[in-house]
Amino acid sequence: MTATREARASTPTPTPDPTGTGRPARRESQGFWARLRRDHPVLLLALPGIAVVIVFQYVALGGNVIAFQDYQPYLGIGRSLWVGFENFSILFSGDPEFLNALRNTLYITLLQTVFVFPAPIILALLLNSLVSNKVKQAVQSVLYLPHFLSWVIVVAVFQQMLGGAGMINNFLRSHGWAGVDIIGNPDAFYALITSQVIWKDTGWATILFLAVLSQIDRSLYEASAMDGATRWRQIWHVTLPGMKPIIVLLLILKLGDSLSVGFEQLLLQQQAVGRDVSEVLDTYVYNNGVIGGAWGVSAAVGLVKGLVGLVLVLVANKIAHLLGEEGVYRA
Amino acid sequence: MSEIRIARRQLLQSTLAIGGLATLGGLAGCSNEGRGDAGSQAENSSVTLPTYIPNPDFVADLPGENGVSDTMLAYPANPQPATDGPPGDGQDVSAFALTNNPVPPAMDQNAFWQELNERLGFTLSVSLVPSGDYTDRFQTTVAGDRLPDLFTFWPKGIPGLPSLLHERAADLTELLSGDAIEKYPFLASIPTESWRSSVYGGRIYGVPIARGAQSSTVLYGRYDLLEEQGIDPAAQSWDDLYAMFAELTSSTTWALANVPLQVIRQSFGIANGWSVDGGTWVSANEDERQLDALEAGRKLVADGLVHPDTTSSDNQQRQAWTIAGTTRFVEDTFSAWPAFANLSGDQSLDLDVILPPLAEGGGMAPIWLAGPTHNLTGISLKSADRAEALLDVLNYFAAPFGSAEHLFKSYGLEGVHHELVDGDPVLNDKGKSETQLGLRYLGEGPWVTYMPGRPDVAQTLFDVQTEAVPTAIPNPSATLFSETESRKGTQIGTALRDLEVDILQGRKPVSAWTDAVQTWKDGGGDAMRDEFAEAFAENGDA
Repeated sequence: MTATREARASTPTPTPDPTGTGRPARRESQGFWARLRRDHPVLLLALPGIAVVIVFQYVALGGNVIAFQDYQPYLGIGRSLWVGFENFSILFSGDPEFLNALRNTLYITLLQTVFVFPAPIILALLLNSLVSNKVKQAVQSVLYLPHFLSWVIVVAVFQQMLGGAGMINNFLRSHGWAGVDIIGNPDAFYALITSQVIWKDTGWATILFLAVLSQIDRSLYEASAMDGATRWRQIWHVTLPGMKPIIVLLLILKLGDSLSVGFEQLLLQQQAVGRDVSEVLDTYVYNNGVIGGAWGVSAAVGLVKGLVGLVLVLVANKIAHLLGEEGVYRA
Repeated sequence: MSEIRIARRQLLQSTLAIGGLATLGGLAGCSNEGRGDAGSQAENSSVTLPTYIPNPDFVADLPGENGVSDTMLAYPANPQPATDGPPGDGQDVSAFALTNNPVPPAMDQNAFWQELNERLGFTLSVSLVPSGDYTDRFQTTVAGDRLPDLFTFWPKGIPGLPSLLHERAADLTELLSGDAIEKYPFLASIPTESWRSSVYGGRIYGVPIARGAQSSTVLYGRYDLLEEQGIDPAAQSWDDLYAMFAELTSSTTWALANVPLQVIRQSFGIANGWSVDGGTWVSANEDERQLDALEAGRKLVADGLVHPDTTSSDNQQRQAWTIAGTTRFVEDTFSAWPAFANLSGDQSLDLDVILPPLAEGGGMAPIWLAGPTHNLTGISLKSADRAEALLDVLNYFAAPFGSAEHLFKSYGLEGVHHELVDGDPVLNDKGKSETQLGLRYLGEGPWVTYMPGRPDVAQTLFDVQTEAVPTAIPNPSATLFSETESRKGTQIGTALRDLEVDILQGRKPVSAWTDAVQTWKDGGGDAMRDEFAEAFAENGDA
């Protein structure tokens, strides 16, 4: 075995492999220590990142054990009573508060997938069609900015503009018209939070799509133009197929945390609009666990939420493979 | 597990020694294996509370009686030190405290804080959290086992509080009970009623910040603005009040900063929390008049008399609206006046309390007396060996009105934080921001009504309290222990509070209240009723 490996390593393959599939073969061909010697600066660079992931993601996972306990913060994990799956009974017992949170979460997930997810794709296509690079960069910078504002500020800005005593309502009233109730109106709430997310993060999310757009082979556009394709036909037959792998990848990743639908954003506006429409799984966990003291039940709900996310990613990835896409990874 | 069982047994033995066999019934009643010890009323009642020793040197300008606080019209001249030298053991002290004011500048940019450290002889680090977020932060701090030397907490405010204190707070019983308190004379001047809230599981776990009447919720009105509009705020019935609110509302100003639901309930004659008839306890939630009160509150919102952003605002914002004149009335506590004054640069601000009329007319409605304790300051179990020194620090903070310590703690340095106006220390802008270290929630003597430079305000507050406080209705459960309340009270109470907002905002019909109260009763309300009734009977005439 070793002999063949060394032999292969010493005779580099003369033909370049365009698909890139030859690379794993070459990596296998080197010994572990040889690879370590070659890659160690890169590995060292990755070390802090790996340490952060281990400490804050994997070690923290251990805390999920409180889902199986009657956890009391003053007793700690070591001394709280073990109750097995008792905390999970809330998932099946039809607790109206939990069901309400679940319903709202699913509804907001649906809204976000339908309205929020495609927004940066459309925006990227629009930006890409701008001819002047200067204008494009200026527009991009303006669109990125809201991403760097915290939710507290975004919510406050919306409040100042649309609130009952906000700019628009004050203007309407001082001109003798009736005010419009937007903030604090449960019927308008989903439209409000969806537009907040779009306003805040769409610009930022275009970055990836713009990068992909710039990598699409220009000659394909030229060829299609020669064949008499219009702009629409070009988008449909050249641009979108070029973007498809990244769209599928992001959609799968999005599914993974699709049940996390904006904890801060919703919590900040919960008081104004009431829990009936604004309680989602994350705020339910917070309100019942941290505030109400039902830590174990909340942890159980959070754990199940994470598991559902994992299953969604795995299933979506499988479907992507069946449709001939790369997906997130190949097993 | 075994550790807890042992602790439980030890506690049982010690209570048997103190309280006799009668305590057995109370202990058998609770099923808290694995939660630590929750305690019982019998245990609590068996504790000898600190002896009450009023401060002999303090003479009030207007002495209060029947629950009214002593009132001062001017600050005593030449305040002298009440202590001999710096408190504590010279070691640094860290504290975790709630605040109702904007957070002050950091220590290195805060002359007041630096001078305080100088006077204390050690560095006091304070981590401040707005009262609205305090419970969350407290819970996570406990979970992370990061409680500093001193920490504040609300009586009954946190699920499982007795067990929590048993696990995390230093037992102060030996140091404070009975005559032991003499070592801390300024803490000894805190009224006995307030000390009742410091007992959990039969032990004293904190030093109370006394309030009582001062925390009672009342309706404040901008009398100066009302006068400009030629409106007389005297109202004979709820309809009168409503008519006045309606008259005050225009396109960009509103009569009310919030729905004054507590005041409405007082007006409709609803009991404060619970009503006790003989030995029978009935929750005020079950009162049929709740529906009338909610309907009255809902109508205020529906008719546009309440600031439209009230549900997304916090207390400070509502106070600011009222100071700015955007709203004319706001529901707040007696003790909120200094906060209003802090927000206003105008010394002539005329903000007065309007007492609620009975809804149907026929005189004034009795107001609700708030609990005798605003909050407590506990000492972390990890700092238990320093408990005496830390109590000495709290004693220092509780130095009486008119002492040099009190003057500095409340008003900072003359010329830097306050100017003397006719002998009164009136805070300047620097003083207003730098002195908000939350010290008054860590250690404070009995409340004294006093507004520097505004003897008229102190006089008015004294007058209105003299009228309202003696007839005020206390909450009979305020200092009684219920295991269910401690464990589930917050959770089931929050559901009702949420529904209240939904009803007031017109998102749910008023009739939804009845069902929600049934849920509350089934979810623990009835159990609380029985436990309170039992505790009340056990407590006897205490």
